Amino acid sequence: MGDGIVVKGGREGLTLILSPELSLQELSTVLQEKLLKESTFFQNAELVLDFGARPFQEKEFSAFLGILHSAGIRIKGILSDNPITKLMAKEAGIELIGNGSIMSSRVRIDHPVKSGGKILKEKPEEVHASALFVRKTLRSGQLQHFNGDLTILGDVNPGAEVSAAGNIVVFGSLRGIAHAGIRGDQTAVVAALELKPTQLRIADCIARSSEEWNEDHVPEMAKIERGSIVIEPYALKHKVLRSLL
Amino acid sequence: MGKVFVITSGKGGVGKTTATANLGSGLAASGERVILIDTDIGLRNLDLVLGLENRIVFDLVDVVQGKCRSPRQAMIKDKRFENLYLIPAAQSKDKEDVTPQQMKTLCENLRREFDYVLIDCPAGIEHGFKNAVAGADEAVIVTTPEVSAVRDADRIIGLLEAEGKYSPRLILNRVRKDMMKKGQMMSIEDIQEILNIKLLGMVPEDEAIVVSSNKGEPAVLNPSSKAGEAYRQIVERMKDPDLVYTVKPDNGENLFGRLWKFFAKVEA
Ligand SMILES: Nc1ncnc2c1ncn2[C@@H]1O[C@H](COP(=O)(O)OP(=O)(O)OP(=O)(O)O)[C@@H](O)[C@H]1O
Ligand SMILES: [Mg+2]
Repeated sequence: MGDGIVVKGGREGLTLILSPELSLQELSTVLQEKLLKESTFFQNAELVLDFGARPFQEKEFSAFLGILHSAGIRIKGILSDNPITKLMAKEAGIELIGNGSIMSSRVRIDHPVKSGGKILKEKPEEVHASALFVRKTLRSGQLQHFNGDLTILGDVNPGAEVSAAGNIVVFGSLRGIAHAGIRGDQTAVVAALELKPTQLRIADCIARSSEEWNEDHVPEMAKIERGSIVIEPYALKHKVLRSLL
Repeated sequence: MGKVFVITSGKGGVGKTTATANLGSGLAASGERVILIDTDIGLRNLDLVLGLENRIVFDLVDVVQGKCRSPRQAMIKDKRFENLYLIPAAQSKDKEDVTPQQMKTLCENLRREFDYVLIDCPAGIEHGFKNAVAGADEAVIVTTPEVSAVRDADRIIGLLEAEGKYSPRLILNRVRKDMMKKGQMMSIEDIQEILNIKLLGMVPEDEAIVVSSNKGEPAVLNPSSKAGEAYRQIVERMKDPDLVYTVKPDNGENLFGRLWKFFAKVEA
């Protein structure tokens, strides 16, 4: 070790502890090397990143995630002790795991625990964000991603993009781009009060805007059936949603 | 304390400069003290539309860099109104010569002396846009009934919201009622369906705009111009935010209105 990155296996899966001592650039390089060298180990793994107290400048965070993303790394969530980083993660729709870094509390970075060892203890106050509510209209050029189910209370305008690992529900007009099941979940659905997306994807299936979208303002849902996307009226009988009001 | 408005659009050539000149002249005609700032550095136009080109000595860059003794020195008084001034853009300098912070400071100073500070924004979302919006507390979005212009307006509204500037108001320019009726042009409903902001007014396509811009006499002062009449009404709405031109039911109702509609359908 000694390269500033420690890999741990935990309840959340593989956790990479990234020393705040390294610059972002060093970190990207070391990370890339490590992931290449041990590619079979990391294949298809979803990683949890522990940033410790590392502060991020504006744009740095999303740029760093972008690098990881382009390297094919899937991020399950992050741990951080830095409030700004936490905020940025929240805004980027990335799950915050636990209350903070495990560097500060239980494990020191120079004492790596063998992978597979149980490090994270069950904490009662631990919250799992598996759904995100966004209460605004997404306008052209705005992106919203979430690693779970995503609900938008507002419109998704043309030129805006929403994506989620799970389902996407828009309480408004969906006219932009939507990608549900972005990590391959074929059972994910996209529902909207008005479903007129420019492009709609579920897992690997793509449907493009055409005259086919319903002209009436009726709620509809898109899902995969026999390998292609089908649209059907969205008749939700559950009282659950009603209770939201 | 005066109000600072930025007139912006995203897409170029939709009528920001024309709007700034007309709103400024219209407000001045109704007795308000007005100053216009052209922030389109390198492509200055507002002086031409007002017919003030030959009076320029100092410009915006000189003002923020302290090259003239005070902003006063760069203010050009309008030909027609005592209470209308212009700070022109620099023609041969870089956009980077002005910073958002400098614009904030300038606007704070000017609003003490004027009732309205109107900022003519350059096209785009880059440095010039950031400068233009920095000191403004209200925004007027200009668009034409074209898909691309509306898309860019939407982008701009999103960027303004990100800066904490909510409730911008819309001027829909170059409207051709005949084409709208035939469905050949986006209708106001189509546009509001996407932008969903308050409408200041609609300005018809009008040759008088071109003629008056070339002569340096804003159409708002021409009693027989239709576009001029539209601008006179817009000026009234600008002065009184409660006078709104609404086409669609109010924003506030939207979400819940839709939810109710949705559940009504479900129950049916
Ligand atoms: N209502 C109208 N009817 C007819 N022509 C118009 C109207 N409004 C603006 N124009 C014309 O459109 C052209 C562009 O207008 P203007 O310069 O005001 O746009 P702008 O948004 O300031 O452009 P830029 O982005 O280049 O600064 C001008 O030639 C102007 O005369
Ligand atoms: Mg202009």
